[in-house]
Amino acid sequence: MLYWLIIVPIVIAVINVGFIHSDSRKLIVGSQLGITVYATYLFYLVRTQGTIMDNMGGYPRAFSITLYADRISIVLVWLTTLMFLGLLIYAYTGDYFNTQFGFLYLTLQSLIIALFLSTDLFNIYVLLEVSTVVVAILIMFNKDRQAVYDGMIFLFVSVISSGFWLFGVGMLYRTFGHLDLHAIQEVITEVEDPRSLILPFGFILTTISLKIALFPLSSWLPKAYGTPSAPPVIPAILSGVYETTGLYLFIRLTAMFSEVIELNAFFLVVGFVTSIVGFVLAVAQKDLRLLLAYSTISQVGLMTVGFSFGIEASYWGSMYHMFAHSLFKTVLFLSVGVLSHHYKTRDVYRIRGVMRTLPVTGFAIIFGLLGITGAPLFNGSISKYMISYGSDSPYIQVLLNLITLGTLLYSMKFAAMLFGENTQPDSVREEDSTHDIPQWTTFVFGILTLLTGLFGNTFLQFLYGYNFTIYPGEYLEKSIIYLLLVLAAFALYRGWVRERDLFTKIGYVELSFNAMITALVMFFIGIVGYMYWLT
Amino acid sequence: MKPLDFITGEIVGILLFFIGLYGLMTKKTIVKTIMSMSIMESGIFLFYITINYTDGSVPPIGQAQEAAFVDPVPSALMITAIVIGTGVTAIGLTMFMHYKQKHGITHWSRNRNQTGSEH
Repeated sequence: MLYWLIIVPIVIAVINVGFIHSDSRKLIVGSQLGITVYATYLFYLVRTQGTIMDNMGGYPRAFSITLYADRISIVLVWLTTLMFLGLLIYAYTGDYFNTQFGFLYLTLQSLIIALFLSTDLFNIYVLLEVSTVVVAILIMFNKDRQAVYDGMIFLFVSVISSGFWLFGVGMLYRTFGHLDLHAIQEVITEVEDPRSLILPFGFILTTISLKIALFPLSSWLPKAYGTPSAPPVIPAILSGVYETTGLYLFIRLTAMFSEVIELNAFFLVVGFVTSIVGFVLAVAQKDLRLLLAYSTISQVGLMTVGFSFGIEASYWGSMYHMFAHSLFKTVLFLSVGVLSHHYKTRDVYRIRGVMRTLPVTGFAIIFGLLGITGAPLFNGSISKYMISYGSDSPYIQVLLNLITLGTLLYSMKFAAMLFGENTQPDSVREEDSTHDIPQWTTFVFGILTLLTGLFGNTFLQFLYGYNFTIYPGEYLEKSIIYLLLVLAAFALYRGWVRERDLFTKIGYVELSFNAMITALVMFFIGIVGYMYWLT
Repeated sequence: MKPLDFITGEIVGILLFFIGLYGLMTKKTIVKTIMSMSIMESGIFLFYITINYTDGSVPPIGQAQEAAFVDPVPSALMITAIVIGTGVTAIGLTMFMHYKQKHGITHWSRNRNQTGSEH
């Protein structure tokens, strides 16, 4: 029954093509509602009865292609359907919402859900490859010069990295004769020489690291997310949902290999470096989309850190941060869409007075920013609190606070738009925008950011069945640290970051296509070398 | 052991993969990138269809069961992978042609602000 979630969007996408000369939006929204309800039902089933497994074709497990839904994957599937529904409502009035867009949108949804459910390594390759193509077409939806260039870079870099995955899977198949993730996990400890797994693991991890944009493999991400002409829901989908597929594969694959090769220390370091590089570059941007793209890199680094501590609380903290990140990043990307519609620019220095002109979006932005920085009572605070449980080392705590400080720095830059004189161009100033669907959708996502923070514990229990006690004393201590960091960030921003040439220069640092591939190969050699040294 | 015994499908596959990768790292022309990608993929295909092959084994259908069967799964997987590879190459070439005809650009640029050079 899990396969309905994958088939139905594709079928609707194909039917939708028949509406080429008429309006198919109602059909798509209706189907999305249905899928969301069905996903909710499946979530309920998994919650009450445990893991669901679908073996295709009636073959026994490990021989058939299996769809597998446990708590982790079904939550992500549910989140995906909710996000796609929400974003669809946002896009409903957009001029880009035509038959072609609907087709690509639904196909992408089906592919992403399949990525969460599939356990077959080759299937995952196919899904990665096809979703790459769909995303590339969505990026260059308006076919302008920059968009086509960015789309090509995204397509080629992703396809090359999927080649690494395919090669690694081939090596695994030669060793085990299985393609099923769980089947391999069961027999992996029987391998006599762990060194024989280094190459396949290296190949597969290189692909995943590129997919989740770990440093130094993150250069494609700002290009893909920051394309100026792409419809505003595209970066929201990419950052909110597509990014989580990579993280999901990261969790699954490192769990599969962890019996033989433990790479927590490696990813801890890479995670911290990614996070710090991410926020430094985010602070340096002036295009809002690029700022958010680099911020995604930074947050992903933080999640990788949480997953790599090897401690339960921080592991689930990262898991919750993944959920929270989808929400607040969607809020921010969508509000950038609203802002660029009403201000006709995405330059962070040229938008001022949002609170006065677009109060609904203004509040949504405030909620999103408080979420991303981990302000008390918001979802980010719960997950960051849990991640900080990962280690007692003072250095690690300092680094975690440094990341929060960096997040606050670029959030200040973002928040500066809320105040000041209205800088809207005269042509759009007169428009009445209080009954704007996009604005209210953004606002609803903002409210969700608050709710998932206020009832953080309940949500954690509800989603993952993980019980976590938050000690009020400690939480208060974290809140005070947060306030101090806000003050520090404010002082830093006013005194040093703003209008500093150094940061403008850093903002233009990026790799060319060839350099990206070289970085990919270097990362591969590095990780393989490290594993040889380890075993 | 014959002198050329070490040239198996697996070894050639791995070599092709890295030759393709070398091309991707060094060539700035977009068409050459697409070609290198195809070479890289061919290496993977060759690797797959030669893994776990033992001399004297027979196809898995229409044969008496005395000899060992060849594993049909890798070949089946590669049919799918070849189709996807062709599709991706086609899309890559389409994008490139559109880009070249409309903007006259054939090379990867150094950075975003330049966005493609015309030499």
